[in-house]
Amino acid sequence: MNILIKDKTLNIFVRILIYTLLIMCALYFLIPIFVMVITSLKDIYEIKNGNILALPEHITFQPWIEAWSEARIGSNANGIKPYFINSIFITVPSVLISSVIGAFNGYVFAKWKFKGSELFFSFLLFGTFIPFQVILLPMSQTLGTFGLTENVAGLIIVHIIYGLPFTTLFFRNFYVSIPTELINSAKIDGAGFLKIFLKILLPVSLPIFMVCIIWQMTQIWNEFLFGVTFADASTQPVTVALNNLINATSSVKKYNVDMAAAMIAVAPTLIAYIVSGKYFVKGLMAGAVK
Amino acid sequence: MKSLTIDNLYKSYNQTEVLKGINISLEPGEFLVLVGPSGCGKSTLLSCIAGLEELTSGTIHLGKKNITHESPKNRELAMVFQSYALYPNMTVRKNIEFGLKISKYSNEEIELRVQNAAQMLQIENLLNRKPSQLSGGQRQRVAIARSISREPSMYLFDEPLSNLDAELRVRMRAEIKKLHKKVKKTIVYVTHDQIEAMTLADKIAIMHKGKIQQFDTPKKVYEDPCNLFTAGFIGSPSMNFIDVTIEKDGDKFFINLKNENSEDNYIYLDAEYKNLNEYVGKTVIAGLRPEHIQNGFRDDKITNELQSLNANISFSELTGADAFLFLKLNDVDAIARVSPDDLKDDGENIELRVWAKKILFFDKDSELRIK
Repeated sequence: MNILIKDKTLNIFVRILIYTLLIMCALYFLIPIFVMVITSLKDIYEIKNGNILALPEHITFQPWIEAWSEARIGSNANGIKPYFINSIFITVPSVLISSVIGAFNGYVFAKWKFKGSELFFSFLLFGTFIPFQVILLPMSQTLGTFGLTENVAGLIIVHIIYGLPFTTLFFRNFYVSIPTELINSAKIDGAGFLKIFLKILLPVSLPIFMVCIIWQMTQIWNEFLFGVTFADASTQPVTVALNNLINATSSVKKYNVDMAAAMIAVAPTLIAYIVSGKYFVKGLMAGAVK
Repeated sequence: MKSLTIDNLYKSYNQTEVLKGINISLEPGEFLVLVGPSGCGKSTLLSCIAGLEELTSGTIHLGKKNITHESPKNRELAMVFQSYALYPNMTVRKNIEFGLKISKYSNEEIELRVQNAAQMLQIENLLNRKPSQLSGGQRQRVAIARSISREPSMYLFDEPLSNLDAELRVRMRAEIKKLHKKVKKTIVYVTHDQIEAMTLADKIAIMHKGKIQQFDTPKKVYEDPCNLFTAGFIGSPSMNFIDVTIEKDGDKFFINLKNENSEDNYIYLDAEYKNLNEYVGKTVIAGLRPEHIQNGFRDDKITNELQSLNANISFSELTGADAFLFLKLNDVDAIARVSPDDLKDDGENIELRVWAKKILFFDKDSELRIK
């Protein structure tokens, strides 16, 4: 009896400790966002004279409007809106195409092994370890040769190619866990290579598609180096625009506009995580379709 | 109904030979069970028949048609898998329709076949469910219904009952047997369970190390095994193997089975053994099925073929209808299958009877049967 009570108090004590620690961590990570949000809602006068952690006295959305459509970036004063749209035009096709090709690759590597497919797969995996910087020069030469530097197509192609090792890996590991008996059964039923993929495997692939899409979207939306290297002024993604906005030296530092612009720039990936986070975890854990 | 003929089939993966010269000839409508321990190549053989694995050499004929290099869908066969292999995203109806639609049957024909198959397996009320909403037994029924709907020339079953619990397994086993009587199609059935093999098969192929050890009817395989492996594999509890020395008294062979107390039990062999002469004075392996060592044989006709055996009960197991007595004969553990009436306690001596005619002998080196 005594031991039980002891256990219980110990349990509660441990729990309190864990929660305190977790809450402290959460606060620690939330403070920057908190500062960003309140700063973006203050006017510049209040920022200069007030405490960085103080709540705004007069809430103003002017910095958000300015960041979105009025701030001067480069030679234009259209805010980050056009670059945000650029990012959408770059991200959506890159994510979708790399996911679909990855699914197809994964299907082949998992269920249609050919001579040397394991070696081929290892080479592909090697692609996940190649740092961005290494391919900057050869890639810009290649894009230049094919005349793809003027529009977003070049960036899209770079992102698709760079994403393929990851998406292939995701799908291959997912499809490996699907029993081969299913494929064999479909073969005996008369289904061919494509039909098996479309009718049997794709319908059960939602969780891994979610993982793949979130992963790729985060990577591509947040990507800076390729954006700054391969895009010209009119095709830059939002990350580059944000950098240009914040590093602009011509006028007074408008912290509130910078913060608002940064919030806008991270919003899509944040929302994607919040909306489909549970799929992400499910997809990562996925194995059994039983 | 079509016959199945497999000629000299070899299959190797890289350097490893998995199947080493398989020959099978099956009459139309026969039920063949491939049985053997895991890793014996039985599933690989089935995959080769199904066309899921390319074979290294040899030929497979279904009826008169050479299907050795035919693609799976053109082999006129259907297969039922161990894990049922139902398409998880489709309802039961869609599962059954899938293959039929690919084969481009008319809608009426498909509907008719779905209904027939569903009726035969009594799954009409499950047609709109997804596989995940079904129990193991129901899934297996659906898998079988799906294969029936294809109206194939031959059915392949790959350990279809091993994922079911014991009770269900016995029931489904009976249903598969009934089904075979109804559809009268050639069946190849893979299992590692020798009871399934015995109960279902018209012909059993016992496989070991990539070879067929014996290909025969269940009765023949049980009573007339060709080697030590077959004799030990079929039967539960399995055959007792005891080292004995063949001796001869006049023109009668006899052996000695010493019990735990080193008392001699001389057993005279009634049956004809034309090759045993060369083994006189040598040690061979004697095989006795547990049911041939008893305390009370029910058959009066064999009374004069029985000989007495005094043994000491190490311990006993009661199964209900029978009791298994664990004995020591010639320092080897042996099991006797006796009637549980008037059973003696562990450690006591008991007088048993041996049906000497049923004793089999095996060469110690080649492990082949000595006839």
